[in-house]
Amino acid sequence: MIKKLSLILVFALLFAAFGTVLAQDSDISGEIVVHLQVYYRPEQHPEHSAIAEQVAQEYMDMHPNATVNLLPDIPSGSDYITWLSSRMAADEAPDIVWDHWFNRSRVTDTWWTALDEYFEMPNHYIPEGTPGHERWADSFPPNVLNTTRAPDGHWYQVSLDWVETAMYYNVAMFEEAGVEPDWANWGEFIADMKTIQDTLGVEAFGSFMPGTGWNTWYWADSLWLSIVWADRHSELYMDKYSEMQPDLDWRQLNAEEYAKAIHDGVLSAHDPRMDDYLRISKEYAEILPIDYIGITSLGDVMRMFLGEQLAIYWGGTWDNKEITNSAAFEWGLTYLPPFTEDDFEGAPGTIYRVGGPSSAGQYGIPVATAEGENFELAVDYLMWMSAPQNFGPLANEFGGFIPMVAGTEVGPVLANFQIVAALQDRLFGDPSARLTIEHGDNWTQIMQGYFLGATDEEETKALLQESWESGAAALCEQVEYDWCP
Amino acid sequence: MRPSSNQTVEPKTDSRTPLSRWKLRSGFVPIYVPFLFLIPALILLLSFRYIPAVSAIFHSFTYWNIPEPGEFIGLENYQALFDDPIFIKSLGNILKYMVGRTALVLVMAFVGAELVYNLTSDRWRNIWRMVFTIPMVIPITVNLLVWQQVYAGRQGMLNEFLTGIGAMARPYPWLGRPDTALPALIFIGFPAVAGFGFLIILAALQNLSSEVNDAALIDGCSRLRRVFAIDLPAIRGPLALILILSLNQGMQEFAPMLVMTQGGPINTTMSPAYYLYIQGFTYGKHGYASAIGTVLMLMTLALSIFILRMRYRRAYDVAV
Amino acid sequence: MSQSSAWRRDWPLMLILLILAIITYVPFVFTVINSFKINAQFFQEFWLPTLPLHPENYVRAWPAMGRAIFNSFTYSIPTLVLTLVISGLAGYAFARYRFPGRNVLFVAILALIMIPGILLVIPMFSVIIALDWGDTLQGVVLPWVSVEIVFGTFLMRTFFETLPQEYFEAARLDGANEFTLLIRIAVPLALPAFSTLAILDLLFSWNDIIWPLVAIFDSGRLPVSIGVLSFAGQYGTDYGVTFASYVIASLPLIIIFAFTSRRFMDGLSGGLSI
Repeated sequence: MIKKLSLILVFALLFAAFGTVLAQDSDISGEIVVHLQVYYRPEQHPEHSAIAEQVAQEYMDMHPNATVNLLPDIPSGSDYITWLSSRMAADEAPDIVWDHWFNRSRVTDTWWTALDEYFEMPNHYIPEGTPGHERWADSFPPNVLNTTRAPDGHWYQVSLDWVETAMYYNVAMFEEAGVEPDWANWGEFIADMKTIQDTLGVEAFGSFMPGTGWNTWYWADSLWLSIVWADRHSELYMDKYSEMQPDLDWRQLNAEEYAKAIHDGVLSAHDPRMDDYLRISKEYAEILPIDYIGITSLGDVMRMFLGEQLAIYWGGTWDNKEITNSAAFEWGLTYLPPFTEDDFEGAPGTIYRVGGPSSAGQYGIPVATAEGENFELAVDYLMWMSAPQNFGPLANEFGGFIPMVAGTEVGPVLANFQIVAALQDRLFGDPSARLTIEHGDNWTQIMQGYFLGATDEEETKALLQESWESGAAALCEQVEYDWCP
Repeated sequence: MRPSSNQTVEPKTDSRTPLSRWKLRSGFVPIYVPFLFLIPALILLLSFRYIPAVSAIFHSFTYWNIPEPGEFIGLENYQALFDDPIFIKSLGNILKYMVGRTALVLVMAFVGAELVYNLTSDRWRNIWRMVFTIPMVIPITVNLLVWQQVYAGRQGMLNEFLTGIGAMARPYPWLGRPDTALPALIFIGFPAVAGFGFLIILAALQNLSSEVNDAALIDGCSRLRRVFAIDLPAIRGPLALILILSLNQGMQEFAPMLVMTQGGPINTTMSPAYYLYIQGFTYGKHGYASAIGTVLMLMTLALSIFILRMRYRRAYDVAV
Repeated sequence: MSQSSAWRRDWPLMLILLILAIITYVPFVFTVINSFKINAQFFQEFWLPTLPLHPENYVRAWPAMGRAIFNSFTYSIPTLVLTLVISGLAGYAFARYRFPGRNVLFVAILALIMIPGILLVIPMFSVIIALDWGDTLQGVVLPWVSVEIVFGTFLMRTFFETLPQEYFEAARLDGANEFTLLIRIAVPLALPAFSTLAILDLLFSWNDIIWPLVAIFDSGRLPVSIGVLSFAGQYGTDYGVTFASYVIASLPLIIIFAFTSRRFMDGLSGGLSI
């Protein structure tokens, strides 16, 4: 029986694969609108936009019956989510469109098409011998596939590039305070930050934490949780995800894994590890700018750094250009120290990188397109565009993100970020990427209460536990995992 | 002219025939004429206001995962809403914001208008009026950007000023503390003179019969006493209008929260309209967001009715 | 009263007004100052001017802003005309006729002011798409008009009610029909009120961000309110050019205000009240 079934499965797979081969041989026709976010802004960024146009033109030359319309990105200061939501509501979204992968946990199957089955197919646009040619999924790094999987286990997007973060520091300020940008452990680092605050009268460490929404305190929060829970990582992992990626014995948790661990009581805010988490978090909050809770954009933190009011700015690869152009002082790059036994008992003796696929190369296909007649063309164009010979030059010309489809050359941006790129990934992701986006905001608000003295350790832990439980419950309601109560 | 109370309260009423005395004789104007004039407005309002509003209210009773049609869930959204501590907190916040903001705008618009109105020179009066009209063109986004820097912790204008004059030893994070964030939002755009309210009040003042004013001055009434004894009661109608418009705007405010604090710290600047926005667009809970909007709409309506009641009750109370 | 005695009486008031005006104009002045900086200068000094000036920010902002201003006029002018006509008609109907359902209808229209704008974005967009008006002029303009005629009807009604009835009675006895009465008598008298409404409407349509962003698909046809955001963003902001584009965007309105400010005030002089 099983043999028979597996035979059918093999045939089905073969047929599916064969089907696409046939489809690619026969001529693809139709018309699609493609939104590439920052990769197509012909007015502000004519250089790399020209590459995007060229990629589309080559495709159309190859498939004369297909029309690909590149949609210039909406002005970047405007409200993207309102723009996209209303289009999704009216089935008027572009056929290939950008959104952050973690936003897809919000709406998943009513907005986006799962791409899993296409990931299993060959991408013939990828040259032979390059990973992805036989099976498209091989084109993406396994840790990225792991991170970007939606809570229901599907992939609703391709993630083609990566951001890396590091600390930009002001060399003169470090010298004046007598501080080296290199620390043996967290304790040393905090002491040096205090020295900078006391001797120079400037802000020490640039990060911010507004009431809701994404911010760079998220990065710190995910690191502190990863550090204190590192020793129990294997208990947090679920077998079904580990088996899918046997080559990753250390990886970021998946939404289902957080929820399951909370449900099972493994992940609990009443665990003694959370005392270390709260202590580290508070020490961190004390080295931030005085109005770190009042600042609402990363740009304002960078401005403080470039205005020589701030010794260290925690930013990303995308800031490299601006800082190179506008800094009137000598700067360097460094990173957070490792956490050792001197900092707390059971510390892993290391630190993790904060980086991820939250950049411009994240594209999905709306359900409305999948139900229409241009779906085949949309998938095929996505494959074409993702091929290293097409996406690589586009990303490197823009220079803000690191292309990560297999076979791409890494541009000069990453050169500065080698120290960080060599580190291991985080165990915990950003708060908003853990369970639900609402849970992320909730987590922020509780921690603000703790930092501002509105709640003490015990109250904070109770609130965090409540937040974890309600986040897990919300996810269960949405996805209905088999273990859900 | 007899300076009756009626005249000071509604200075214009006797310059025209009251509407009640000008009834249409039947057969003089066909009954459909007014409706003919109203048709374009009604069609537009029906298509782009009433139908969408009814749709939003309908969806407040659904679990609405766009683009799917909502799934009817009765009062569940409303139950959840009144159990939602953040929503409850946002109601308290917006009440404080609305009252504070309206008081500021009303007082400053009145002060500004009185200052200009009391100038003797007509030429200067026009110049100042113009000076306080032009800033209305500054987009709200620019204003918020500038005020963010006024309140900034390091090198913020307010901190530089207060530490400079020695009022404070160290800079204070105005937007980063629960006790000051909401007041800081209220004072955005200080002195808040330039605006529609200023123009309405000034126009109303200039409309007052000058004989009454001159008589009051001759009677030895000081300028300041005149402001309270004559001007203020006389412009009650325009004031009520500004009050309603300003409370209405305050109730639905979300741009300052979005730009300046994103609802923080610890939700002390979370407003219902901003909460509606994030619940709908950020969290994708459009049914829940519609319930917030519906409650917000009802509250604004109740408030406006209350103010109108107050105004018309008080109007009959004026002693002759 | 002679010049000097007027001055003697007025100076304390003028002094207070001057102080209020200075604070009011800070954002304005700040915008102009920063429109002449490059990013490096802006980061170093937020409030004060720095040298050298960079007028080329305006050159860089102009191509996008010039087109955006043109676009804005193509949306704002039809909005303006329709708002004035429709509010005028409706305001006139409420002011001059007694008809069954008059009060109910008026309250029902006025109640629309209470609706939070953000609540209607998705339902309104669905209406537009159902009519197949996505990315069309009417898809932007008619929803705007529907927002503006609510206050417009109120304003025009208030104004029309101040007009002496006798004018109308006389003309009506001469055999003029209702439409002629409106065109020949009411409209010429109401010009100031129309100009008030026009300015308020222009301010609204010029600055609205969300609706055009949603309703317009072709980014080459976006209005100024969104055009000014082109140089700001998550991957770095060009501050000087952004401020220059704000200055460019405000100029048309300032010019219009300067020329119409008196009419604008006359429109309010009927006494806007409830």
